[in-house]
Amino acid sequence: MLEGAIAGLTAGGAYAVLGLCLTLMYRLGRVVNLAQAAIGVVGVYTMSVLADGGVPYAVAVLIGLAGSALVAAALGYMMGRWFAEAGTDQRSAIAIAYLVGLLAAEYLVFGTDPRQIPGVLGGPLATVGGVTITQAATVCVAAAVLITAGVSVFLARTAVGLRLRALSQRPTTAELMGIPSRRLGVGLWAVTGLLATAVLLVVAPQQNSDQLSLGLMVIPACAAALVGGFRSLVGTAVGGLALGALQGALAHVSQLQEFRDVVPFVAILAILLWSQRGEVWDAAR
Amino acid sequence: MRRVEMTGPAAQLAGALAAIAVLAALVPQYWLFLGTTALVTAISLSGLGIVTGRAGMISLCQMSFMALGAWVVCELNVLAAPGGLVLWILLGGVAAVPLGVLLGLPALRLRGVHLAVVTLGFSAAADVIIAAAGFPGATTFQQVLRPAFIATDTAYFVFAALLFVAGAVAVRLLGRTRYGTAWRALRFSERATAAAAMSVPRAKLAAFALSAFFGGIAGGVLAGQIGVVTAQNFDTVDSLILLVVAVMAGSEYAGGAIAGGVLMVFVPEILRGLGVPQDWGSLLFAVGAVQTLSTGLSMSEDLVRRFRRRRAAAVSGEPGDRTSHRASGVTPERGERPVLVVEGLSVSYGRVTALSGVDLVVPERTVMGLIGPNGAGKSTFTDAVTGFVRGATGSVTLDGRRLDGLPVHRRAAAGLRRTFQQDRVPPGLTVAGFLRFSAHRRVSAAELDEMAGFLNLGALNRHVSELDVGSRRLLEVAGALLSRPKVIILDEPAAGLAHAESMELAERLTEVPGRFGASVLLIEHDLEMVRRACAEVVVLDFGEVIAAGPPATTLARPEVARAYLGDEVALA
Repeated sequence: MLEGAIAGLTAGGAYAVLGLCLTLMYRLGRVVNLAQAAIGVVGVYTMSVLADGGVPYAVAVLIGLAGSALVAAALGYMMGRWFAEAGTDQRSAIAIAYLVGLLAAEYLVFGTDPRQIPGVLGGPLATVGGVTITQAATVCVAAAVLITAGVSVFLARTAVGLRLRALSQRPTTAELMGIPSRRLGVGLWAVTGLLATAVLLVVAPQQNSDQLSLGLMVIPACAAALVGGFRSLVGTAVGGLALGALQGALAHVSQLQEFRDVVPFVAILAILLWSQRGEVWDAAR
Repeated sequence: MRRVEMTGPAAQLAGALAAIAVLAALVPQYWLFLGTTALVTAISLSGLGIVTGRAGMISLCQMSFMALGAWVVCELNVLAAPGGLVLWILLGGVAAVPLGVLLGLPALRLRGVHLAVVTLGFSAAADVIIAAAGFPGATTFQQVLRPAFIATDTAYFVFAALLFVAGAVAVRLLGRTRYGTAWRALRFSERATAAAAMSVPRAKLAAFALSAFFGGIAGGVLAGQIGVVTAQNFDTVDSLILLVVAVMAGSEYAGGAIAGGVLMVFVPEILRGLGVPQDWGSLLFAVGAVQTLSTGLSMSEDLVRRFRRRRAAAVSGEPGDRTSHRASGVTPERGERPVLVVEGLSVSYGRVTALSGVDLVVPERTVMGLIGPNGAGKSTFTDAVTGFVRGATGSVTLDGRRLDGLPVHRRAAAGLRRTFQQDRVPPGLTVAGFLRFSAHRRVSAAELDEMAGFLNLGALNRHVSELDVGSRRLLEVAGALLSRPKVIILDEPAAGLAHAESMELAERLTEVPGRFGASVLLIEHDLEMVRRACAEVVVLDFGEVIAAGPPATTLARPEVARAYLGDEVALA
């Protein structure tokens, strides 16, 4: 059980980081970007194809990261150009179309056969009291913690962070004050795309990694973001890690093993119903 | 859709039936089989059209409803249940309804993006459960048995087509009921829907239930078509694609649903024929949906809009002049018997007290003004009396009946109506459609015409989206009056009207008690209008009643001037 929970932290870290991307995009970009993980898949598969073709792993990783950041930036550009004035709901519907389009494009470019994704973080890091802690789990948890801390400081302390917050709350006012909204928006998409790719590069070698199951990792990531109410970065990170640990633990209970992927849904529902219990009307007044 | 509008429903139905007959007679078996798949998709899309297209709630689990319908059919087939496939399919649809309601429950609190996340999460969870449980008879390849009359692929195509047509007719008829209008209203404003005496939860759950029913039926038809169903037939991704196509094609219209079904089945098929990978199809749909959302018009809406524009050009209504220069109204009079009695009404938001112990009595057949500076608590008062504020204390009695604790739509149905300061008239409706919806009772065409004349609403067949803000406010007032309320609370109805129009509205308001038997509580900043229309005014400041009485004397009182203009002016 404990071993399972620890093993689950690999996925949990990924949920946390993807969830952080979702929270950032929601807070700063006014969109629930359901295509977030699918963007990361672009980089992972680019890397995998290159590495299989004999390109050194490190180089392939860099090209993969650049590739998905580019794709994310392009999607972000379209969002900023055509849907700058649209509300969160409409922009999120666009993100659903992005997800469908990206999945199709990925099948077209990379083929439909599942791939073994190469990775360097395969082995165990240490064994504590008979429980194995893997390198991947360590890296993922560390990434979740570092990104949470880093982004929090960035938003709170830097000028760009301040501009981003202004932009998210009053886009038109911010633009009138000379904040380059479109450029910042594209940058936001590129950075979150980069983060999503990085974390998927770590977890993809550890699990069943066809494009679809990687792309749909956005669902548990949504659950994680919901723990933080799509606002709190710490809440999101904790939510993601807890969800991963819970799934990992359930994987060791044979009766529930098959249904461990139902956990995100139950988590989503429970969290939403609790957090929105006061929301009766669609508008404040 | 254009032809539809021109020829009317009966001719349209005949055309559809003729088209089915021709297709069944001429098209080769193989294409008919694909045609059946397109119809299955179209039936499912019709359901999605209700919940997403009409009610505007993003649902990403239509495939799960289909899977349940198919599962029921397979199970009944394995059990060799009596009744045969047709009954089984219906049962599959019925079985999906509770699931739809269950998923609709979170939609009562959640909306927009949050709902999308829930339904996507559900879809993924359902995938897991289906994969684990499997379909009855799938491992033994037990074919779903078709009755003799739909045994051939041609006959089954006709059967599926007739089901689709029946569904389309049902959706069309439903679209005209109160629920149909409520879905369109819901999409624009839940508050306005409730204020028109429609229960928002019921409307939302009905949309989900129907959408699930259509999904279940579609799943059942699919099971009958392909015989052996597996989990692969109902992927999460297909739910996403279904939504994308529904958005693109505009599946709230029958034409859009069928176009979507045809696209989803035949585009991959044609690509396959050309030797092009089928995933280009999904990519195409994604691009199409982005394009649709960027213009805000689905394929169907685009056609409808173009047709409407042409028709509008042909009819060419003159721009509505809202002042009719008619005879002035009557002298405001105060009734005797109290109809709305508010006692000790208090509302606080956190530590801020918005209303404290407000007592107010509106007599019958009286126009009463409620005035006060910005932030005095006028709108909070309206919200609290009409049931929008939870945690308000005190009591509200309408014509002797206690309304405390009743939800908004029940208070509205009891005869306490309100209008909003903001524009809350759903733009997707026609003027007549909105009036009928808001009336919450059967109204004759003559009544509508009379009301249009009374408030200068202009042509009744115009769309709300063609009206300016001022006209929409008048329309809202007209809709509320048509419901024959006991009391109607108007929250700044003259905002957006020019001065002459405001005064015209004041004249008309004086006639309301006599014509409609209703009392009016008028919240307004335009004091000239208040003086003209009201027999009595109540002044609110900092959440408390500071003065009440006839307008002339009340407005002249120093504490009223102080509330409005500040201490210096009042003392000077």
